[in-house]
Amino acid sequence: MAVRSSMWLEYQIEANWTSPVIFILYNTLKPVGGSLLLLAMYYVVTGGFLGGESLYFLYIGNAFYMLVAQTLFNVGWIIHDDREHYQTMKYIYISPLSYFMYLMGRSAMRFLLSLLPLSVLIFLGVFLKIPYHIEVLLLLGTFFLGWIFVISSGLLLSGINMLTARHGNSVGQAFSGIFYLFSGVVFPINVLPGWASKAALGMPSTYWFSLVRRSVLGKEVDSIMSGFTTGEVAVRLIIISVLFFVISYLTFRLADYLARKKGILDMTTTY
Amino acid sequence: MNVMLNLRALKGRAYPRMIGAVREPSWMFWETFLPILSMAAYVYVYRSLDAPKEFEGFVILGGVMTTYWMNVLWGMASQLYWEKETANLQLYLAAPMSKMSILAGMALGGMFSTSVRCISIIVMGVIIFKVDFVVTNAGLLLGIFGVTLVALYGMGMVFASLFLMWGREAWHLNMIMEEPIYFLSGYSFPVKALGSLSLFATVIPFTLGLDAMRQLTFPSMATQWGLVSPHLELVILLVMSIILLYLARVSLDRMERMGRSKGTLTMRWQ
Repeated sequence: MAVRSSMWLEYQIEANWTSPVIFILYNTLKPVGGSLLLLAMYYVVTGGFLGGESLYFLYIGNAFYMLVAQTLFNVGWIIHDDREHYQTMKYIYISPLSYFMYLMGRSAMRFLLSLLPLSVLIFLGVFLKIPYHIEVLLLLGTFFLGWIFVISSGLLLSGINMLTARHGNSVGQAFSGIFYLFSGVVFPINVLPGWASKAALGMPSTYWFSLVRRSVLGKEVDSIMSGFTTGEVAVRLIIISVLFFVISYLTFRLADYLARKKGILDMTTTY
Repeated sequence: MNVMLNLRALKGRAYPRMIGAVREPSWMFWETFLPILSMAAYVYVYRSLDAPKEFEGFVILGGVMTTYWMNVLWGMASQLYWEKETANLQLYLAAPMSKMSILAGMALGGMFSTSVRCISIIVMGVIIFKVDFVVTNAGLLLGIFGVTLVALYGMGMVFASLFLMWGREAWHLNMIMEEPIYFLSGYSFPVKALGSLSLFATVIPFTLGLDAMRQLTFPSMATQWGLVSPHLELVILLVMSIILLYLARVSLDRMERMGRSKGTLTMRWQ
């Protein structure tokens, strides 16, 4: 019930300021802008838009990254929004609802809403002659595992936000930058320095993006990740995701405890 | 006009942002370190495509200017709306100083933390990515940088009034003024690549500023990828600065008049 209510709330906050058509447009413009940026970079170097493994790699990686970035952007803002904008955090805390479940519900809805721009980007990929080879079952599993890893990141971020002031509104977006750089989203991880490539293999996102490419393109073009079978990638993703979730949950609980202890649950910072 | 009063107001609004940055160092992580990671990813995209080294420098300079754009969006444009939501706006309007000095104070305070981030980006570019900046005309470069900031923050001041009038709709506008604007302004690539679309992109002040700064720091690419001459870009930016500051004043007055007559200045969560 709590999850359903918070999903409904997320949808209202995100969408009820305008008509559905404008909301869809708004929801799609940002991811499309991000993809065009990368296509322009590809164009200035190669002089064209078509062909090439690296184009498919960066286009698909970036399209799915928007799922991560958009969800984290919103989740990263929930604590500050509740605490300082609507000033409702203390009321949610004293209501018969778990704040943890509330965050789960809101992140789930944001994740679902982000599937729409992803579909648009996949459709636009047809014009770029992306050689789709979609494996539906694997893709569905990939979405589910992706949601686990994204909500774990969101929990970690929310825990940190409970203890920090509001300085800007894009902490979630900045946080997702870690995954953008270290997970082989838009370039193969062997391009990174040696230590960073090794660090990438400890991140759930690296395996998630590898599964994304396998389920959408039907193959893995990253030279390091292609050394793993699809089964190995999935098992590693599950193990690291579970570990990541446990760490994020414990961090969130600790931050929750410290925020209550310090009396900063209703802190307002108007920098 | 009481100059001292307005200078005190400017200092008063800039103070919490500067002192807040010192008191809560967590922003260094959120606002400086993490955003640099996304930008670094673009550098590695160019490396994976075996692009000329200058393109990596283009990304570094783009990262510097978009930092200011982000600050204009989140620290200026949406700030009056935020002040209304936190009930500070009514205090500003009741106080005797010009509202422009409040906005100028916000801009100055915001520039402090933003400049720290920019310096970090440049240091990272030089030390980690070994980007070689060849400054051909330091005076012109500084002039263009300064005028671009004035135009950018002038635009932020105009947006601040508009966003306040539009409420939550405008709040969401901030979101779509990130990636689409990065694309139009050529954040990570030379804007000339957009062809005739680049003409529309020049409405955003940092498009011209960024193009001029790239021409002045990477002269080997200026002929192939420069939009127009940096001198002409400086003139256009100067004109834009004057127009935007004038528009900021007009829209601020208009917003205040409309808000007073409709009684919406103290209405929250609209």
